[in-house]
Amino acid sequence: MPLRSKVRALGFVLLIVFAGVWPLLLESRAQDAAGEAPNPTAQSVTEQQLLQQRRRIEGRITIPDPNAATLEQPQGRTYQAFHERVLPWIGGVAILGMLVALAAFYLIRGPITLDRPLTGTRIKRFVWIERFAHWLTAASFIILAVTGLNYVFGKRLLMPLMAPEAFATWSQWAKYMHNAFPWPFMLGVLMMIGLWLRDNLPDRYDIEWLRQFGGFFSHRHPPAGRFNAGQKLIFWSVALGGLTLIGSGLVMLFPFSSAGIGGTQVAQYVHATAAMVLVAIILAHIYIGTIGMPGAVDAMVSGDVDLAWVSEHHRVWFEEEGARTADGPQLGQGAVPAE
Amino acid sequence: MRIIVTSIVVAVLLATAAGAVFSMAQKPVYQARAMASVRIDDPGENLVGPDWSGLHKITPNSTKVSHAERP
Repeated sequence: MPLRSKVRALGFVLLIVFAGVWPLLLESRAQDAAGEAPNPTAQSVTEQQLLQQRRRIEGRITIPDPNAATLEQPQGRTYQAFHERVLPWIGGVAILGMLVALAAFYLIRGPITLDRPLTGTRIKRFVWIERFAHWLTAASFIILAVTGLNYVFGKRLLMPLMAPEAFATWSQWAKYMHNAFPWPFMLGVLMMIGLWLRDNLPDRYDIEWLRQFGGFFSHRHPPAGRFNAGQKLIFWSVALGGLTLIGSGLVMLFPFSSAGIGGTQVAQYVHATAAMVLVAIILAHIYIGTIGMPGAVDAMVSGDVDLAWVSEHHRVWFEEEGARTADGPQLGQGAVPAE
Repeated sequence: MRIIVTSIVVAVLLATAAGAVFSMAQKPVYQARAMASVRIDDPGENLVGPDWSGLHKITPNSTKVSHAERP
C-alpha cells in the first residue's frame, strides 16, 4: 500500500474515534462542573411552574390558621396594584372632579332660588323618624368616609404633615371607628329604604324633570312629587350603594368567614370603588341641600318647609297634600291649606 | 337641631356598643391562632416600616428592606 493511502486510512480511523469520544468528553466535563453528581434541584419543579399550574404556592403547616399555608398568591400583587395605583386615581378623579363641577355650577348658575317670596306658612315635609334615619346615616357615613379615605390617601396626604407616630395612632383609631360605625350606618340605610322606598319609585314626572335637568339652567321648576328625579337618583345611589358597601364590608369585617383570600380581595375592590363613587355623589347631595338650594335644609332640620318652597320644587306633592288634607291638619296653627 | 344631636348621640352609642362587642368577641391573630405547642409572637404595631407605599423591594444581598428602590 502506498504511503499516501496509509495516511488517508489512518486519518479516517482517527476521525471515527474522535467522533465517538467527543460526546463522552463533553458529558464528563459537564459532570465535573456539577460536582460529578446529578442536581435534583435543577431537575425539580420550579416556582414559576407551580404558579402557572396552581396559581398559588402553598405548603403544609402545623398551626391552626389555614391561610398561613399560602406562601405566594399572585392575585395579591394585582390587588396591591389596584390599591396603590388605580384606586387613588378613581378616588381623586371622582371626588376632586365632583368638587370642581360643583364649584363651576355654583359660579355659573348660583343658588336655585324661588320665583315668589316666602309665605311664612310652613308645611310638615319630614316627620321625626325620617329625619332621625337621615341624620343617623349621615353622621355614620361622614365618619366612615373620612376614616375610609384615610386608608387610601392618609399616607399620601396626612402623613407628610404629621409625625409618623401620630399618623400611626390616628390610623389605628380610624380603623377602630371604621369597624364600629358601620352598624349605625346599616341601621340608618335600612330605615331609609323602609321609609322612602315607595315614594322613590319612578313616576311619570321623572322623565320630564330629567329632560329639563330639574330646570337648573332654564330657571323653571318642572313638576315633581314628594321626591323629584334628582332626589330619587340620590336615594337609589344611597340604597344600592349602601347595600353594596354593607355586603362587601361584612365580608371584610369577618375575615375568611364567608370568603377566602380571593373573595376578600374582590370585596375590597367593590367596597373601595363603591365608596369613592358614593362619597362624590353625597358631596353633590350636600351641596344641593345647603348652599345650592336655600330652604332645602330646613326640611331635614326642623322638618317644615315654607309653602312657597314646596309649591315650586314639589308642585305635584304640594297639590296632593292640599287635596288630601283640605282642612289642613298637617299645617301649623294659623296656617292656611294649600290651594 | 335636636334631632341631629340625637342622631349623632345614637350613632356614637351604637358604634361604641358594637366596638365593645367586637373587642370581646375578637382577638388578635397572635392570640387567636396560638396553641399549646405553638406560640405566635406579638408582631408589634408597625408592620410595614417607615415606607407605607407597599412598593419597597428586598435587596439581593440583604434581608433588610430597601426604601430606595421603587419600580
